[in-house]
Amino acid sequence: MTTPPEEPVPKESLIRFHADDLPRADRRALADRIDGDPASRAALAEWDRQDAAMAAIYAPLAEEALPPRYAALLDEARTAPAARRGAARPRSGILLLAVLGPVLGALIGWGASRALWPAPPETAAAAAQAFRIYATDATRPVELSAAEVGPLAAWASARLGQAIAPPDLGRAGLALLGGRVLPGPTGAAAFFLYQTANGQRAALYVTTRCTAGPDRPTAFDTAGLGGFWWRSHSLCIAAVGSPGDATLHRVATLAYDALL
Amino acid sequence: MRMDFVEEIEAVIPSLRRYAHALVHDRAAAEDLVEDCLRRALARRAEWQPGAAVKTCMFRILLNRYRDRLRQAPVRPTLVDTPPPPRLADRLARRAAHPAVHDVQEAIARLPADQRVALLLVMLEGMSFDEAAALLSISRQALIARLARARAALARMTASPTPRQSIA
Repeated sequence: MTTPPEEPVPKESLIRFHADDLPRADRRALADRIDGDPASRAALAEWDRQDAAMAAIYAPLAEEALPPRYAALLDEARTAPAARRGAARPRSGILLLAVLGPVLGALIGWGASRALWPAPPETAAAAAQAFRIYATDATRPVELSAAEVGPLAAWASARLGQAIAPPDLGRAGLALLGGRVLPGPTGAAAFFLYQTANGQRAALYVTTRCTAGPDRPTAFDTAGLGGFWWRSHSLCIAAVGSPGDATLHRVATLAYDALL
Repeated sequence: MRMDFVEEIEAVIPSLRRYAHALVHDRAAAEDLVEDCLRRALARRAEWQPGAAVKTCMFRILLNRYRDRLRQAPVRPTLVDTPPPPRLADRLARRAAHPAVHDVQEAIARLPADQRVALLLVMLEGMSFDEAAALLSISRQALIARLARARAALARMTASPTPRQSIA
């Protein structure tokens, strides 16, 4: 009798072998089997060729100097850390950008122009108006309380035509009070109200069928009430309220990630 | 400490760009993806924990944004995920420069997104299976199966045209 033919090497084992993902002993044993299996050897050679092809095309990119658009962003982060951490008010940052706009625009192009999104945005104005009316209401600021967050999310989702729920803003020090559906500039809008431990309130206001807006939280100010607003798909979202800009910025960042 | 944060981010940008370009196969879209990722990472500096894996976090942000953009994109065939083709001039230039490799690049662009994402993490970024699986929130087994499917699909797409002739 001749030696029985070995089973072909399973593709998964071959994948692990190729990526050097096997323990040394297993690797050695498998190497022996691969030696006797032309199909496996051919597959490994083909994968090496594929990897080399992609490396040939894309490796040079990683060797290039940092493009100016990224260098500018990093420099901005290095030189103005205090503003980012909330010591300075974002509105002053916007004023500064307005003054330096032409210079920065030349330096960082599109990035700067987005930071200068024209005001006043409809969504932001509507959010501020809703906040003024409801957040200050001593008896009934919300229609459905935080205890009814499920029905609140279902209600908002049904009226806005897409799944939406109030995000958890605990990491910004805010707890959900509740919310309601309101008329917005382009249809139904969701209004989620939150409160800090010392009673300051902030709201997230979400409108649908939104066609224009900055794609990252951008500061706005309407008659003394400020916040941040942005667009995500067909939603426009504004974070507005009485806590400081640092807290509001944190609210916006959390909501930005949660409500994508 | 704060400078470390920015410097760590800066150190990741080259691999992030390399990966993004291979992933979306379109220069402008790739750079937009990287910029978006960078802005988000920088905006989170207040939440930064020293010692956190900057590279993993940035790749996670990038992949989230990529998936987000896929969802935003116009409806496209679901069986084969086909990103917009590169401009003809770009393709011809690439073929002239790399006659043996353009087929691999274009085949990868035609892989289903989940396979392309996983394969490039391993083949181009040299991530370990543990790293890549954690990043994609899937098990090692699922990752290995995904890689096997991707390699098999690539082999089919880059095979010589003989089978097609035999069909005719």
